[in-house]
Amino acid sequence: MSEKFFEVRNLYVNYGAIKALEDISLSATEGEIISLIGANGAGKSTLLKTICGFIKPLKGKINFKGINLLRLSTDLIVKHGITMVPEGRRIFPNLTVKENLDIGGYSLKNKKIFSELYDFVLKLFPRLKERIKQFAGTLSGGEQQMLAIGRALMSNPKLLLLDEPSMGLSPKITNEIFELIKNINNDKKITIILVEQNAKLALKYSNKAFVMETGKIVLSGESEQIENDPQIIKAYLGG
Amino acid sequence: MEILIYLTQQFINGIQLGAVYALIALGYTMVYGVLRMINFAHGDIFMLGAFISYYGITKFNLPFPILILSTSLLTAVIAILIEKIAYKPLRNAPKISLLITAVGVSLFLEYTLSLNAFFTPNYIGFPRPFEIRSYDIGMFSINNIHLIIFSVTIISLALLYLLIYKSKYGIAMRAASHDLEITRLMGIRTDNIISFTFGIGGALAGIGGLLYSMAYPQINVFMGIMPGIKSFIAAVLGGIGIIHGAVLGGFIIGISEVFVSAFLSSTYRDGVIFIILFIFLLFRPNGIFGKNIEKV
Repeated sequence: MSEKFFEVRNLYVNYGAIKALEDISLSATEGEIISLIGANGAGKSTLLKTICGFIKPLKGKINFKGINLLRLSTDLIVKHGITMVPEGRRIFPNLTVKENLDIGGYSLKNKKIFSELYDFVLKLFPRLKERIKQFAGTLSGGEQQMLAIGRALMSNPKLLLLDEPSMGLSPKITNEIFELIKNINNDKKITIILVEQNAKLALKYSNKAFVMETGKIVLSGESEQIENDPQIIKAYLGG
Repeated sequence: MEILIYLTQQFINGIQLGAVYALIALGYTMVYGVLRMINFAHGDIFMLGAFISYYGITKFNLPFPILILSTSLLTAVIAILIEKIAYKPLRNAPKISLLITAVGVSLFLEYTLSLNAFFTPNYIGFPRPFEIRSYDIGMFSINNIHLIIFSVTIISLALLYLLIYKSKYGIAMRAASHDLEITRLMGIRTDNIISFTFGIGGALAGIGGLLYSMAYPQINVFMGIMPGIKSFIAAVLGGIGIIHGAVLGGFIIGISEVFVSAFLSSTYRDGVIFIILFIFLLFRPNGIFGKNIEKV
């Protein structure tokens, strides 16, 4: 086998004296959806933030298509094709919907790819098109989540990290968002790493899953397999 | 009737001073927007603008448009250099360190330049690039210095507006002023945006220095202190971090100052500005346009 598409190996992250991540290893093949599940404070978001360069780890490796990401700053990581939809969406409320999308594609040099992506995003989220001139702060929670995903897609990512896309959304909107995530994965062959509190939903939409507890991966495998693991059912699926 | 003419006359003078304060206040507010810091050395950029113009006129006899361009370009570069040298190494340090460093930069510039080898601590007469010409309009008069200050300010504000609301860098700057971390996630080198912000602020302060010296033609290395503080107050009044707030705040402070000098006594003019600040901090601490205050 050639080099892995994306790989985290023996990653350790500390917040001061607190161990946030301990010996994390995981990998993804191109086109997969991977879910990270676990309770609050298990280190899922920390892992995503480390991948996109917000947090510098103590030791370990993160490789993407043969490139060592730990040497790069966030802006360069994004230029290499990784981006994140952050927890709580964090769209720019003081910018219009259009400006939010524009800035998502800030680093794209190729105007043709830019306008293709722009059209793709507006086709995927027609509701954003209706509100294109509005300030993003005036959008509803679901629309803001769509904008956050659209903004991330504008950078033409090959690997998309999604941090709690269901947070604060109604079940109906959540399902809608997850169907769209599935479409993105299908249409654009974008690999997705998904962090989600709602384990049932995460397992339903992912190929592989990693279960985290207090900074460690305690279980991993095919999502279907994990869905049927009696321990997981007891701990996370309310069985 | 006479009082009305006098009022209008003072109002024109107030707008003239307010325009300069607005230009300086913009730098405070934009830098606060992206770095959440008060750049106390900003008043000294204004002073440098005055001195650079002084040399531009006396040594090189530059035509006025070139004088404005070269002054603003140089003060922009100086502001960027100050940021790179003094503030950038403190990016992850507590905010109070940045604040103290800014005060240090300010004192360093003032006292180094006051050495006899440089500008000396004395007042120097500023040669106006134009002869004053007064025009009588109805019963009050306006001079060409007023008109030049108004038009240069309007052009600068219009360019600033285009830059901030229509350019790619402007969008990035507004994004950065809301969320620096996520701006990085857009593939943007935020250090460049910070430099850009300091550069724009520096250019505007430099223009302010030139315009101020044309209206009050005496320059000195400490001349940036009071206008700096008053423009900072203007930025707070408008709502720190809010661009149109800084402009409005500048005009309010400028007009108040001139009216106090005209109707009370010029002895009280600085005191009244601080009283205005005091009242605002008590009753509207977020400023005119500010929404929720952020604790630093």
